[in-house]
This record gives sequence, C-alpha cells and structure tokens, in this order.
Amino acid sequence: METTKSNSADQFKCPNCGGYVTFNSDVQEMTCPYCDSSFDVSTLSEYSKLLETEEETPKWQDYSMEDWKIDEADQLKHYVCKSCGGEIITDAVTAASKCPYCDNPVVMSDQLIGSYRPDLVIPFQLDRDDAIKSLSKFIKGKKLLPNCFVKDNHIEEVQGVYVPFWLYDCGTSGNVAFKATRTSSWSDSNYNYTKTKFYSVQRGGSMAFEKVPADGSKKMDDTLMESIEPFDYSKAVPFNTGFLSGYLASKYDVTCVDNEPRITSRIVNSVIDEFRNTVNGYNTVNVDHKVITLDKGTIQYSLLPVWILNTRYKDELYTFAMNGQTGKFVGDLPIDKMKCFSYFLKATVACSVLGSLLVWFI
Amino acid sequence: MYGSYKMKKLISLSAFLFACSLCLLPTYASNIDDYDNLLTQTAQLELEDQIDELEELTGVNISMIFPEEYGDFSDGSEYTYAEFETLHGDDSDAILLMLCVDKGEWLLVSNGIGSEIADEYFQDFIKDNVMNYISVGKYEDAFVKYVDYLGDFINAYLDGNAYSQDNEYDLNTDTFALFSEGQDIIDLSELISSDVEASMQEIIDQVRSDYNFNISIITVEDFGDFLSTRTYTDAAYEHMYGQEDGVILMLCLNSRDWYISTEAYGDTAINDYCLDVMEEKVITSFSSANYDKGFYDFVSYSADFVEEAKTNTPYTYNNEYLTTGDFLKTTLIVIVASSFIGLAYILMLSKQMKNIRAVDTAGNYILKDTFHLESSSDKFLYSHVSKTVKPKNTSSGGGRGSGGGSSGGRGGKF
Repeated sequence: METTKSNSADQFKCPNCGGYVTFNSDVQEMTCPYCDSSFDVSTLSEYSKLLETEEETPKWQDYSMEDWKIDEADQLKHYVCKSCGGEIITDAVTAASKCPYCDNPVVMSDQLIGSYRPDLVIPFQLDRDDAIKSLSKFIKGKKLLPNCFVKDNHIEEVQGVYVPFWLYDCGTSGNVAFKATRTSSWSDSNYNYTKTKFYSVQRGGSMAFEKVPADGSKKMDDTLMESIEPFDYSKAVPFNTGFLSGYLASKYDVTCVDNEPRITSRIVNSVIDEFRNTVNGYNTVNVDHKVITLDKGTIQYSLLPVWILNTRYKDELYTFAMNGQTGKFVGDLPIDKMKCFSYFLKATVACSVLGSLLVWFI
Repeated sequence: MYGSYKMKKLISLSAFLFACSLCLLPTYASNIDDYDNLLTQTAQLELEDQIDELEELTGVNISMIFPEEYGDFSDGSEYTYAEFETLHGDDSDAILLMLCVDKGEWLLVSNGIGSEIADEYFQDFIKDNVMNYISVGKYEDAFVKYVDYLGDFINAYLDGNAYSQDNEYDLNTDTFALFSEGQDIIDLSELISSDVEASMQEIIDQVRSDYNFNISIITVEDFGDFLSTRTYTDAAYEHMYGQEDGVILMLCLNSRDWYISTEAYGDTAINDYCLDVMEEKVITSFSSANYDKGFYDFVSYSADFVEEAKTNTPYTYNNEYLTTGDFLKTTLIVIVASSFIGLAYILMLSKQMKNIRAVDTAGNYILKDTFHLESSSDKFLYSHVSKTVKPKNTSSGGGRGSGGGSSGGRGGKF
C-alpha cells in the first residue's frame, strides 16, 4: 500500500560544471555557487526540463513495515533529492526546501501545480546578510534590551521564505453617514456656557483597491505578515519555480474565502477613512451609518519574499521578519525588568532634581 | 333721627379738628421743612424734640430744609441763604442744613456762633460721616447722626474745646467703648481659648518689641454705626493704635464677615501676596469653625511676614512664603509628577521594543485617481446648550481706608 506520495523535486544543475545553482537576489538570476556562472531563470528552467526527459530515474520497490495512518499520510510529502538521492519527507504544504543530506536546494514543483500554482511572485531583492544587518540595526539603541540578548545572541535560523499571499482586487462604492458636532463656548458673570450643534454629514462615492494582501499560510502569524507590508507589486513577475531555488516556500493552506472577512474589514475601514477625510470643520466626527458594497472583485495567488529570523532567549523563541523586497524589519524584543526599573528611577530622580530647581528659582 | 344728627355733627367736628391738627403740624415742626418727604412723621417729631432740647441748652438755632427743587431761585446757594434769612434773620446764632436729593446738593449756612461751629472742619466731618448715609438712602440715620454730631460740636465749642484739625472729634468713642485699653486681642465673641490667647500675646509682644509693629485681633457682634467691615476695622485699629505700623484681623460671627486691615508699614510687610496667603491658610480655618487655629495662624503668619520684611525683603509673588508643610507638599508633587514622567519614559522605551502591529486599513492599496466623491451633504440636526456655574470669589478687594488714608486690607465672608 502507498503510504507517502513520491514526487520529483525541481533542482537546476549548472550546465557548465554540473553543480546545483541557486537564485541570486542581487542580480535577479540563477548563479552557480561553484563556478560563478549566471543563467536566465526561464532559459535554465527549460534546459533542465530537457535534461530531465533523458534521465532515467531508478525506481525503488515499495517497502513498508507498517502503513501510515490516513490522516498522517495526508500531512506528509515524500521527495527524493536529485543531487544525492536522499529521502526527503516534508509537510503537505512545503514547496521548496533544502536537502538535509547535501544542503542543495529542492523545489517540490508538484506542490505548485494546478490550483496551487501562484499567479505572481516577487523575487527576493535582499539577501541573508541584509537580514542579519537589519536585525543588528533593529536592536541597536534599544535601552531596555537585556545585555545577554545582545552578547549571547545566536541566531538559530535565518530563512528566506516565499510566503503564500492572496491578493484581492476590487472596486467599492458606498454611502457613509457621520454624526458630527461643532461646539462654541461663552460665559457671563455666573455661568460658563457650551453650545453643541449636531449635524448629519453624508458622503457617497467609489474607489478601487488593488492587490490587498492576506497571508495564506497558517504557519505564518497574520499580524507579523501585516506588519511588514506594503510590497511593491511593480516588481512582481509571473510565477516561475526557478525563483524558489535556494529559499523555502509553502503552498497556501488558508483559502482566499477564509481570508475574505479580514480583507473586507480592512477595505471598509479605508473607505470610511477616505470619506471622513472629506468632512472638515467639525470638532467631532463619528460614523452613524454605512452602506458599502464591493464589486468586480478578483483574487490572485502569489508568493511574496520574507526573511524569517529566529532566536532564543531564556528558552523563549523570538521571531523577527523582514520584507524581502523593501527591507522593512519587524519583531518584538525581550524587555529587561531590572533595566526598566533602573531607567524609571533615573528618569524620576532627574526630573525631581530638575523640577525642584525650577520650583526653587521660578 | 336726632341721635343721627348728633352723630354727624360729632364726626364733622372730629374731622375738622384732625384737619386742623395736620395743618398745625408744620408750624409746630418749624425746625425741619421736609418738602421732599425724606423722613417719616415719627422720625421728624423725634428729631424736632432733639433739636429743641439742643437749642434750649446751647442757644443756637438749628434748622434743616429738604426741598424738592429750588423754585424761582437760580441755585441751591441762593435758595438756602434766602431760607436762612426767612427762618433766622440776620442777627441770630443759627445753623441751617439744606439737602436737595434730586439735585444731589447739600449746603450748611450759619451765622454768629453757628459760623464758628459749622466751620470747614465741621463741614468736612459732615461730608465724611453723614453724607455717606445720604448716598445710600439712609436719610433718617443721616439726620439723627447730624443732630448728634452737631450737639457734640456745639458743646465742645461752648466748653472752649472746639473740634478742629488739631483736636479731632473721636468718632468711635461709643462704638469701641468695650475695647479695653492696651489690649491687642479683644475677643467680644469669646471665640478664643485662654491658652491660645496667651500664646498669641507672646508672639505679638515679641514682634512689637523687635519691630515696633502691632498685631491685633478683634471679634465683634456687630459693626455699630459703620457702613462696612472695612471702615469699621480701619476705625478700630485707629482707635487702638492711631497711625502706628500694624495689622488687625476683625471677625464678626453674626454676619460671618472677616476683614484684615493693614496700617502704615503693614501695607508693605503684609501686602496683597501676604493677604492671599492669609486668605488661603487662615480664613479656611474660620470656615470650618476652627477659630483657635485660625487666629493663631494669623498672628504667626503676620509675625513671619513682618520679620521677613524687616530683615530681608517682604514676601511677594516673586518671593513666596513657604512653610515646612508647603515645602513637603511641593516636594511630594514634584516627585509624583516626576514618577509619571519616568513612567511615560519607560512606556516610550517599551514601545520601541515592539513593532509588530496589525494593519486594520488598506489605504496603501487604493488605486490612484479612483476615489470619486459622488454625493456630499451636511445637514444641521439640533443643538444643545449646557452651562456650569462659575466659581465665585467672595472676597472683597484691598483698597484704602477713608480715615488715615494709609491703610489697606481685604475682607469677605467665611
């Protein structure tokens, strides 16, 4: 009985020396780490396919002492490294990885065919060194950061990941009613008066949104992914598996339908903001009623470049993310409570001394 | 029928006699011609009696006339002299007071001894101490006082001790009769305990010894004939110490009035700033019926203010008075405020440590030039007016007393 799905993995050999090539984000081409040759992604892809048709892959007899359970089998994928022949078992959504035996890049192309094939990909513009430098820059000058975090910091993992994103295009139209107020004050010898005038302010109109992103991976924290927005879609290109080489990649496991409530909420908030920006001359403006419709909606599936950096401090994992295109770096750093108290004390004493001097002399 | 006829006759006779008595009244009240009806009939009769008694005693003719207008006369002076001529002739010793409320004019015309009595000093005295009642509509009080003062001045003249700039009339002899000679604390309302009074007296004596400065306290039931707390307190101080440097606190429990009056150097040592401090620290004790504390604080603060003014510079808004309590309070406020600033600083630093935040809008993804505002309307719905009561300041301002011309102070309700 077949327990794991055996598939071929896309790897690209250097036509010059036979080594496995990787995508270089700096030059936006495939480069061979052994002989430094460079290749166009699509040309090399076609060349590799040509070579594949002539190669005979040895077939192994099925062997199993114990069958996988059905639910386990659904969550696992089985690949064979074309470089060293090593058996690779991954989860059901991994689309690109590295061989654990020979460290060569592996692209599970069948994970990305059919409905899983992305429409777009934004190639990495920044490399691993940029990600590490960004982390150093991010933690620099953070007064509450524990000294040990900096001194003993060993980054456990720096991974370039193509994260699956759903991109939503749509037009919107709507009417928003605001309740707005204007206040004026005056006084006589006995009372202070405040007059508040209430207005019903209505705005109607339309606007269009393009490529609003929503994270399509369960493994990626949605807030973390929203924090590294925005991406520059002018650099997006039609998907080609060649871009994935050398990076990790996942196929989506959150459907576009699942993401619709979140995207709808973001779009509605923006529509209200746009209308609110046209309401001027009032002291307060609050939404009273709204009717907003989405139309001409289309959805695209894309892979967007993200650097993920993991580090551990006091047995707790700290994950940072960097937009692989723009370099925007986000993460939550640990806080040293003693430093907190120390800075609080210093600030309080300094202000007390300064305040006392001011009171004394003024 | 006969009985009815008799009754009619009796009634007619009574009416005739009553009419005659009314007609005769002005003849009887010849000293006062009240054409403007400023006095009630009773008050006028009482005044007439008083004037008759005075005339009999001194031999000086005294009269008053209150016209509504001057008739054919060109002014009040011509009118008054004409009336004087009619009433007293040329030769008699007489004094006539004319008052025309509508014109706002008054005039004293005199002859013989009257001229020597109603001299410039007397006229100024009447202006200061009688006409102020007229200006507030207290006509009866004014004329009663006028007759009283006139009697005192005539008697003094006849005794060869006429009042003048050099021998001023002591206005307050009766009002301050209960004030014991040489006492600094006069507690007529009995609000101060003996222990506190003794402690205060020690401080008062020390200040007088060191700086020749008087500190005084009086608690009273009423202000006698004085029209205001200010004039009463100024007069009380003048009665007790004359024009010497000093400060006095007056408290009237019945009307819940207080007034602090400063005299001479007291204006400098206990200036507006010091009065602010007094009002904040002392008067609040009276409001909470803590009289011992309030009076002791008054004496204590006054002593401190005088000492600082004499040895250094007076306390002012630029040289504020701070007690140990004030210092501790200020320090505590500074520390608490600094703690809040320290906390805000830590919150700011903590915020720098985290930058993972959800994005709730999609403004970055609005296609350029696709926003079209198609309808827009602003309609007024309704309005609402709310009002809050403004905080009241019940204190009256400083000002100067009318007596010596060099006293300042402040007062109000507690």
